[in-house]
Amino acid sequence: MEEQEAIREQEDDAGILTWILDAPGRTVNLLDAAFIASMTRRLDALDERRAADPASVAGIILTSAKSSFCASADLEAMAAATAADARTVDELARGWGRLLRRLETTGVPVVAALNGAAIGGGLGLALATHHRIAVDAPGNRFGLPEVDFGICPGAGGVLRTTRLLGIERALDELLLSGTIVGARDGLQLGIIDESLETEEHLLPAARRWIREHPVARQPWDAEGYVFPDGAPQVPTGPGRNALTEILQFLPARLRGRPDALHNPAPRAILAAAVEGAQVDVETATAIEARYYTQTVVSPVSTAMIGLRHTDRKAAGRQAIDATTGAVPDAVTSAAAQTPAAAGTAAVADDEVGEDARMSAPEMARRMGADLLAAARDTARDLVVGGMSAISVERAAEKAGLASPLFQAVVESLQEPPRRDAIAPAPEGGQEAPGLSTDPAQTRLLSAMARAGRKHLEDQGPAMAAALNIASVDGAGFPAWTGGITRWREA
Amino acid sequence: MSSEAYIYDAVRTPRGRGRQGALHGTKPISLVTGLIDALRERNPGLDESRIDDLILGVVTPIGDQGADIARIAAIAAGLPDTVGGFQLNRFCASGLEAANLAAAKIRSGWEHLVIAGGVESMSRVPIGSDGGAWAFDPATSFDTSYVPQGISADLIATIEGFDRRTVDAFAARSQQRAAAAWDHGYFERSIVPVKDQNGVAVLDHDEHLRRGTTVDTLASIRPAFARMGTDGGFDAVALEKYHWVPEIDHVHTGGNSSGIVDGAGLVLIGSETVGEDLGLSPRARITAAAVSGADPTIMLTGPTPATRKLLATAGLGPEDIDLWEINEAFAAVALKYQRDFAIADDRLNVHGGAIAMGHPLGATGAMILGTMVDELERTGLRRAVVTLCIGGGMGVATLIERS
Repeated sequence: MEEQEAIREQEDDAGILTWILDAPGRTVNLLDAAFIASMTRRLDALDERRAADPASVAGIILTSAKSSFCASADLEAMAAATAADARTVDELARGWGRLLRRLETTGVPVVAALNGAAIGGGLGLALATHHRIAVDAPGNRFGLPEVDFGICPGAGGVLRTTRLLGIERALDELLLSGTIVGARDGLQLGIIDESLETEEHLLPAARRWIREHPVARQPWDAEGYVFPDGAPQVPTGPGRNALTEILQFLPARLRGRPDALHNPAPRAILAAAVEGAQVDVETATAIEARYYTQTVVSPVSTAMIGLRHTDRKAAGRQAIDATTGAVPDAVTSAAAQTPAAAGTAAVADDEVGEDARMSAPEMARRMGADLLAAARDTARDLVVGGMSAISVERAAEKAGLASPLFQAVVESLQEPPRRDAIAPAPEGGQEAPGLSTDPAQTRLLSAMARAGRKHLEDQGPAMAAALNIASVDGAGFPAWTGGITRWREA
Repeated sequence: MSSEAYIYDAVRTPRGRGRQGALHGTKPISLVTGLIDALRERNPGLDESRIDDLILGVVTPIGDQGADIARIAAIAAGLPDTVGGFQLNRFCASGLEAANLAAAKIRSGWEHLVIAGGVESMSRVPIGSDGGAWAFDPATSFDTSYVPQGISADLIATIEGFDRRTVDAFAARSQQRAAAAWDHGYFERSIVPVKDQNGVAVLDHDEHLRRGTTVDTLASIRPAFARMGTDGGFDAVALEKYHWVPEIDHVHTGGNSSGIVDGAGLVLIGSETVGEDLGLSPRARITAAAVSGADPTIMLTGPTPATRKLLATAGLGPEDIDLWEINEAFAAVALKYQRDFAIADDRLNVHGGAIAMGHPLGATGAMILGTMVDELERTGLRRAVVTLCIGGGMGVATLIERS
């Protein structure tokens, strides 16, 4: 059955085992059920062997037979998950978390020989090894971009990067930004330990590290380990650490993100980081799995995976490049011509009716103009209906429309904030009318989506994926919606 | 058998100013036992076996003032073993809540004589050092739009249109009134100087008071909450909810906000019967008390709904109240309250408040309750309302009467 294992094993004379990630019948390694089962068998076999003869295994090298090291869990399965799947998703995540914990605590040195990219869960796996050696080549990229898919990492990516880099750096430079780096930047950042020029030195370097480190454990398992910037603690005056000083600011800072109020991932990542830092690794694994599950079963991750994964595949690389390549121009020109944009949009509508087959950049440009016009008309209606311009602006920000495009809309309202426009505060205990901008958000998004969907009718359903991507990357429609064709009023 | 709740005595320590102040070397338990000794001396008929409980408000109940300091203080003061001890926390209104709870138990007939009050040594146990989910648990903080109180106070000022000069003028008046009250001896009835174990005086006056403060001297103080509002992101959190407000005007400073001080206050509350038995003279009655929540982001507007509830319970209107005392957590809090009930200047905080003398969190409610007992007695006026704004968005209010 060896041929069917997702993780093949080779052994050299020195007792070093090489575990080759090589999912049968796939071009990439995914953290799916077969992979998890294979890892379980490898670790069980390792335990048995060392129980018989502790010196029989000198170390383990993890490497890949594919062009990349390892990708994440199955994105399509994640997109399909709903609240009814919470228990299954959580059990899977915790089960994988326990395996990663076994991998890093056997006492045997484990090295990740990263011959290709390790993204999301793949990097999570690499982080559970004691040493990461990467080949510095184009395409060899490393990061935890889950946040851009509406997901909190679930494979220890939060608990291990925070313990490695410190909570604030892990959040800012990796987890909340979704940053993906090459080998050399990864070295600088601290998630990669060695960067090599060519792949031929990769396995020898891994063997050398194992020879030099016959016993290995994670820094966080060493006695006296402290978080690089301190763990959250009861802030007792002089004993305050750097983290405690900033802890109460972190959630407020999060709100500066355009997606803060709709994408559950940034909040979940922050919470998993801080809560996970107050407990042992095993408990942190469970906490991270819970936040991962909460984001996976959310409809926002379904929409964002649809936008960033499914649509991207469907639209095809060429079409996307053409679309996004042309879009910045459309944004700039639309914003610059704000006063005249309504007229432009009207002309564009006529043209669309006459010639429905147009190039992707042209489609994106016209749709951008239409979305802008729809947003401006709605914003104006809201102001006419008695909402202050400042409240409309805040509603737009809250929806995630804080793009230069929408800035032009707000400026077109031309109502300078006045002190006498400030309504009285709601009295304690009672909610004042207008305390929420939610209805305004919904109206803005719906009007824009309607304007965008008109193009779908003209272009045909085959263009849905491209329209979604263009609406987000080009026209400033918020990514958490999954694009114009996915936005539906609740 | 139920009874009215009578205030038989009220005492407080002077307030020490911060880490450089005279009380930094004095333990909070010593502040409490010193006041219990004073109650004994002032009330020779006080049969301690009749005391049911000692209830103390403490807002940061850890370290020196942790682990139910009330029970330990009762033992340390040599009260009979039968006297209980109970520490409670209603944030800034804890000292008043302790008095209200004592009054409620007495009015129910379940208890007969209670010492209620509070203590806070802010120089020894810093505010916020007990952690808590609101500020330090990111998920909770995010979901409930947590902002620090200074942001809330500045938001109130912005919405109400209180500019920097207005809040500074209120602060200067607090200083002038507190100084005048000290000069006229109006606090003498309540103040119990703090002494050390040898009986040597440690502090006999409110150290935080700054005589000669004017609007002009206050004008140069830098806004305290502007940076945490902008760089810290808290303005955006508040304005997301208060979306019609263009921006927050950061008018509050160290000069027009309450001072960080050490101190304790106690009030002796009992039934009519216990007073007659022990020969204690009633000084006032607690006739109603109320609590209300308020929007937690603007946070400090709770005294208004609490007072509305209080007046409805008592069947009174604002015009029936002779004196009003609101804790000066921030100038805008008091100014908004004054506006809400159309209170005349000479009826509100007549002897200044926490801007001048400081706000020892758990103790302040008991201290200002005592100030009103003294003032009703001195002036012969009938009714006073005492209230405090509270973290998390709450208000507590108490009505006291002399008849």
